[in-house]
Amino acid sequence: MHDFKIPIGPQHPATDESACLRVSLDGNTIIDSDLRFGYAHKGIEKLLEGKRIEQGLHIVDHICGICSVAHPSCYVKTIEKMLNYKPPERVKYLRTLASELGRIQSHLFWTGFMLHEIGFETMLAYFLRDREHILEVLERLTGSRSHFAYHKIRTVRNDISENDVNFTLKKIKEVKKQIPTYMKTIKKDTVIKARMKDVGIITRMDAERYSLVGPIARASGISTDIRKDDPYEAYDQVDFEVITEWDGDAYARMLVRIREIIESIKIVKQVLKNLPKGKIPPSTPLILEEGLELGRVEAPRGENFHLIKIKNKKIDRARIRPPTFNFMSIFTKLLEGRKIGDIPVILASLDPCYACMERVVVIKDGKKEVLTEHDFRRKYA
Amino acid sequence: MIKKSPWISFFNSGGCKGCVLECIMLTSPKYDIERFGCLLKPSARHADILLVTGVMNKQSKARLKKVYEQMAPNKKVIAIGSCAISGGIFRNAYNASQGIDKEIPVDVYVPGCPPKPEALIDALIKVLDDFDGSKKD
Amino acid sequence: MEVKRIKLKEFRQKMEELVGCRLITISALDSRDCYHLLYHFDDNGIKTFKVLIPEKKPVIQSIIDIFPSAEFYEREIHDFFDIEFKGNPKLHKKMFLPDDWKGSPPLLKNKK
Repeated sequence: MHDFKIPIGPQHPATDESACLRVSLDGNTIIDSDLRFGYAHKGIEKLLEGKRIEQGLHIVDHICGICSVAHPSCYVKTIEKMLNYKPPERVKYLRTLASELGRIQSHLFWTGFMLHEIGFETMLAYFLRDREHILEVLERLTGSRSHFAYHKIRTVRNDISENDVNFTLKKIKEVKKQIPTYMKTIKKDTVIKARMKDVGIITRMDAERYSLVGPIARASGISTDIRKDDPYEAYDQVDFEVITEWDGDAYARMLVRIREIIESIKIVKQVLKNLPKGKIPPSTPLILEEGLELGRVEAPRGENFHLIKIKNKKIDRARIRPPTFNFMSIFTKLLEGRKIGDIPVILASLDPCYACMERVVVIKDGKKEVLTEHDFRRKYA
Repeated sequence: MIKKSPWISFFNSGGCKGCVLECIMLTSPKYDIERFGCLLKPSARHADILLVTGVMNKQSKARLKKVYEQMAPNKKVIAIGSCAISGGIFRNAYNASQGIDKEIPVDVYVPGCPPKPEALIDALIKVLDDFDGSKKD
Repeated sequence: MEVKRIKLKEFRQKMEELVGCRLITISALDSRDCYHLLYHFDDNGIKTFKVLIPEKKPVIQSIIDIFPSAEFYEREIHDFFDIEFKGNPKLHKKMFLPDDWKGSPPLLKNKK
């Protein structure tokens, strides 16, 4: 029996941060694995110490490029809790709009990517095309395709005009038109079902034990969503469902994400239809002496949590726990007993904001053999 | 020699996903670099041009160097985003470097946070003008 | 923000009472001569429990057996603050910092 130790990382097109996955194999079956992070660790929490609150907001804007609304939205929520400030209704609605557009573009990307992982390149192209529609809307609203810097303390940066509203509705309609085709393909295609059904099953009991959140928990039957459990912004004034599936496999996670796109489109339409009149307040200087507060929002991947301590008007400690951190602990458990070919599918279905794959080094009988992703997949997957 | 259809690959040396996503959106139907013959390859061994994003931190320094050495000679490197050029907003963090050109030679710098795909296409064209048969080790 | 302080002696018993709630995260703050460890749980609303650990002996029991997701939080805090969690088997494998990290844990404030 050979015991291969493979540090895995085929160089992935969609890698946020890197993690090195070390896998021990018996033939083709995984017996043990460990995750090693650190390849994208910069020291953001330390960087935030000693900064003023507005400077902290600027840094927090740049933490993540794909869920770029989640972090500033959580930070602003926490600081406004410290100030005991309730923003005007128009500001709340505009923030909800930005959050939901961010959620749609993130889900479109990762669903397309999951299908790319099983070889369905055409669907990736369709999803990226639809994502471009949403990015055009976001660019018109905020001025940027990513790192929007839209959330400000007590306000938002730009207001939305009548033309922008009509443009958004037009683009949302184009995206919505495609969803039934995608659902039909996913439900009927035998290859998708064969590669994704019963792969990476997380039972409801495991999901509760490992404290999972987000679409992963919802695909295992736990109906948890911060937008309903602890409403913020304008979520208590819009009507939407918390999407739940029961199988807990990669297929269920994909279905949850696509159905959440439909719900988010519903929310965007309601927000634009009922947008309160008025002007957004101007950005004013902030004076906050001391405070310790926590806040959480529903990022596209789950619950995002910030704990901020202010001392002498500066940030003393900023604790940021992004949603992906939560499910890396179950990833290693999910791989036990699976075949090595399931690794990309499982990883993509977990939609991590921390995983990167590099080229593979196979250590066999003491001899090192460096393979590219293509060779690795050809030989082992 | 390579005048028209370079194959590109990219390496994320530790940034947020912003610049990486813009690289991937190059292959989306809206920008579609594949109509020029540019293929986005997952492995650097097959690539002529390496796009590097992210602020290089201590752990990814060695990997970046290895990936660079794996490429065939006559290769070009494009540094994308402010983090890859100079460390960007994370310059002063304890685990970040001040730019990838401390480690590998860079041919074109594309500023932005993140730069738009149009800027990336412009960078690819600039690099192609530079290929001209000159060998680079 | 509501924070309930629990003594180090009652820590384990309190954690066992909370089985069934979802562990959100564990945060660490350092103060002049002690560490504040905050355990955040979701039990129809966020409940936070604070434990103070003396600076001279930063050791506390791990809760990895009742909350498996605590493994990664405890490893992260160990990397950054050098607090020891007794019972966490992978504690000494560095998670975020490079393997050859030299120097004091990065998030400790300089004490002058």
